[in-house]
Formats: sequence, structure tokens, C-alpha cells
Amino acid sequence: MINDETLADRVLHGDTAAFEELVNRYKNSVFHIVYRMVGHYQEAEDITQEVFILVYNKLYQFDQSKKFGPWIHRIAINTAISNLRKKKKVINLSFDESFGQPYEDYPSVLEGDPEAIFERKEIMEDIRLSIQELPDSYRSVLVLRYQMDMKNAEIAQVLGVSKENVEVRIHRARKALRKELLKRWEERGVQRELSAF
Amino acid sequence: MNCQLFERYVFDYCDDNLSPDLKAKMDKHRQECPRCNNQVKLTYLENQVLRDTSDLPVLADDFTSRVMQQVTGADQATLHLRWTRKPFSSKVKKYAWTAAAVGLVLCLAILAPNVIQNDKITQVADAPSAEIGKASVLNSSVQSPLPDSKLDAQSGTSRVYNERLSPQVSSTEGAGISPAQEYSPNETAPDNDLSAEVSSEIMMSAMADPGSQDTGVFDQTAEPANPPSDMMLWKASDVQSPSRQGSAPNPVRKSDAAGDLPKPQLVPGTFTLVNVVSSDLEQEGSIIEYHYTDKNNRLLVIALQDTNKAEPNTLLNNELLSSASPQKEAEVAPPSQVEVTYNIDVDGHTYQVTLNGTLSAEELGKLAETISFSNNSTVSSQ
Repeated sequence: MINDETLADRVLHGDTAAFEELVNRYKNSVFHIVYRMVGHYQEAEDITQEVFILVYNKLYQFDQSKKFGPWIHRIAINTAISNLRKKKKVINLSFDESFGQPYEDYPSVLEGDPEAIFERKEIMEDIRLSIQELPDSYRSVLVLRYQMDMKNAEIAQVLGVSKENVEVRIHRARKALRKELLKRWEERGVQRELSAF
Repeated sequence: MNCQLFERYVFDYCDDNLSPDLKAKMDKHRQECPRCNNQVKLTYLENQVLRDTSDLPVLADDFTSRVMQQVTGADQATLHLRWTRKPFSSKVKKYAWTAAAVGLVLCLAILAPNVIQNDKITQVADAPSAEIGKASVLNSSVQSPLPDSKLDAQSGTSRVYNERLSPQVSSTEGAGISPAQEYSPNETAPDNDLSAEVSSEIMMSAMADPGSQDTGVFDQTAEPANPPSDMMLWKASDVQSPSRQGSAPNPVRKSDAAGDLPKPQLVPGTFTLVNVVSSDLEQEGSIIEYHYTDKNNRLLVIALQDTNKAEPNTLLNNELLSSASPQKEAEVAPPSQVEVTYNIDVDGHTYQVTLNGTLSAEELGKLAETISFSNNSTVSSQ
């Protein structure tokens, strides 16, 4: 199998088929990142398309001594954030659309006491909504870490920061998520006792 | 292990990123502390949501083909050209256009006043209108050698032409003939009899027929015998302001024709010699004028005439002297009609000296006492 960097080199020499191969390899991951960032299918698809056209036009800037994956994922993150900032978009979509499916689809959670099941559903919904409230930088690092299942070193390559910085960012993002969740419960006057889990 | 430390490592605990020792301590604390146990459960829930990808939509099947259509639909040559460009080339191009635009605006801002000013000068010099007064001022600013002291805005240049060129035409002025009528081609034709006219007329006749007189000043000017008045005006302006041809100061020009006349000495240093006009005519003899100006643009004209050659009635007259004043005087300060005339004797030769200009009689008298003349030296000031 031809590696990504070789394909990129072929594209630079006019091989459009090589670019098609790159699109097929990365379209899902790019779309995945973008979708988790913007939370809207059609918008995510448009941005994904924009990312690949951008990659094609800027391919001469790609350093072939490095990995192609982190480069294109970085472009995806930056393009998504750029679009969000341009539109000053406030994501009001339900978390069901952008982050996770409705809680009924979690079979492991649905087992047990019906009251506990209902409470879990509520909590998971709150988590999804809290994630949406996180800043882009925190959300992007969480997407890469948990959705893309990347190691800290890979995330560091994508974001162009050190591995230690990635660890710090993830920790801060998790704390921010917890803080947001507790704030949400506090606003609703809910005292969660998680002993039922 | 306390709760604070437990909270610090709870995320790593749930991600199973801790060392066995620390994990064991966390397990022990979790069993002892329900609150921290809840923290772990909540973290697991968060992780479950964060890792969940089951809801991810799938891209449309034709996504790749749409991208490729967009990519291959673009001009390949252009795209490959982009690849070969350096990353900053587009920025440089953009900045270059911006810089060019800014430069153009700056050039216009800097040059526009000069262009307008030059345009005004050209219009004034070319237009036979009341603007001639302005022309006089502008020309005097470049130290024009020729005067317009008799010029007024109403009669324009026609009158200048009249006075300088043709006594016959001048005589029609009193008969109520308008300036336009005065300068029909039949009337304005100067002839070679100008050699008998006063020196001021010599100047213009030299323009009409440079071969007829030896003025030494306007020999570069050659005009048809019967030029239209406008044309004459233009030429007159041109002659009046030869320095318009360049930016250099008006050089002092001196004729060899009257080179044997005495030269003024001890002229006060406040006066600067701006021009020397000389002629050597059979009837008047040698005549030479030294034109001085001071910082206030006041004019001093020192005229010498060799009385041994001249007929008494053709000695230097006011016409010459006043016509020799700078154009500016015509508008700003009318030339003085005061003159001081006296004779000097240099090396046994008698000369008539006439001091004139825009100075007062008292000043002219003092200058007459101060200024001396010598044959063996150059023109000098104190």
C-alpha cells in the first residue's frame, strides 16, 4: 500500500487519482472531526469538502518528510474553527445531533432500575450539552483524544504543540467539562447522587 | 490519599493511565469515600459520551466524486502554477498592488500642486487677457529682464506691443482704436527703421527681425514680421522670462557692444546685479544699462550713454528706463518716474549716467554720490 506522503508527491506531479485515494482515506476522519466541531451535518460536509480543496491547493506546502495525517487533520480543525468564528456561530443544536445518539440506544445503561436508567439518561444528556458549551480549543482536543482515539503524541502533532501541553489541555478540558456540568445541575437545583450507578 | 489528590487523578484513573501503586491507592480511597466514588462514576459516564461514535453520520457516497469534480474542474495549469509558486508570492502580489496604488496617490499629492502652478503660469503667459498682470508677477519672480511697467490689465499685452514696436500704432491709441483694432497685420509690421527708435523698441524689433539690430540680449528670438498679437504676446512673455526655460537663476548677460563703457563701482551690496542690457547704435552711441534689484525687489537701473556719439535728443529717456523695470513693479509697486541724470568724466571721456528705478529721489541722489565708474574693472558691488 502506497503511503500518504508518496500519494501527496504523486498529486504534486499531476496524478489526480492519487489525490482521489487520499480523499478516500481521510474523508471520514476529516468529516468526523468537523462534524464534532460544528455539530451540523450539511455544514460539516461542506467544510469537509472545503478542507480537501484547500489541501489540494496547498499541497505544495506539505512537508513530505512528515506525516500526512496530522497535517490534514490540523487543516480540518483549523478550518472548522475558522468557520465557526466567521459565522460567530452559537451551536444551539441538540446534543443528540452532534455528540452521541439518544440515550435509548445505550443498551448497557438501560439495564437495571428504571429510575436509575432515567437518571442516567438525564446525566448523559447534560454531559452532551456541557461538551457543546466548551471552548473550541477544549472541544477540539477532546474530539481528537476521545472521538479519534489519538494518543497524546499524535494530538501534539495535529495541534502543533508539545505532548505535555496536550496533557495539560486535556486535563483542563475535562475539568472545564465537569465544571460546566456541575454548573448546569446547580442552575437547575439538582443534587445528583450517583450512588445508584 | 485524600479527596483532593483523588480528584486530581480521577481522569487518569478512569482512563487507566496510572501506575499500579497509585491505582491501588485510588481504589482504596474510592471504597472509603462515597463522594469520590461518585466522581469516578460520573467520569465514566463522561468518557462514555465522549467516546461514543455510534451517532456519527456517514458521508454521502458521491462525496469523493464531488471533491474530485471540484478539483479537476479547476484549471490544472493554474493549480500546478500555484504549487510551483512560493508561499508568499500571492501576498507579495497583493502588497505590490497596494504599494503601487499608494505610491500613485502620493505622487499625485506631491506633483499636483506643481502641475497646477505650472499650468497657471502657462495660461498666464499664453492668454492675452487681464491675466497678464499675474504673468508679470510670475515672471518677475524668475527675475525677468524685460519690463511691463506700462502694462495694465485692461489693455493687456497689446499695449506693450504697441509701445515697444510701432510708434505709428501707438499714435492710433489716442484716436480711440481698440487694442484689437490696433494690431491688424498691416499696422503692426515693424520695419528696419527701428534702428532710429529708442532702446526699448530695439528690444522688440530684435524679436521681429533679429538681424536688424545688435542687442546682444534677444538674439535668440526670431519672429515673423507680422505676427498676430497673441503670438507676439507669447513671444514677449517668453523673452521676458527666459529663465522659464530652466530652473537656473537668470544669468547676468553682458554685451560686448558697449564693453568699452565704464562700469559702475561701489554699488551698495544690498543690490544684486540681475541684468545688463547694452546696445551700440549709430545715433545714440553706446548705451548700457545695469539692472539691480534688492531683496524687496526694488529696481535700480544705472544707464550709461556715451555722450560723444549720441545726439542730444536721443539720450536715454524715461521710456527706456521704465520699460526696463521688472514686471512685478507693474502690479505691485508702480515704477518711480524719478531719475537722476548727471555726467561723469572717465579717462577724459564724458558719459551721461542716469539712475532710475523704483527708488526714491533721495535714495537715487545718495546712490549717485556713492557709485563711481571705472573702465578697468568689472561690475562690482560694495
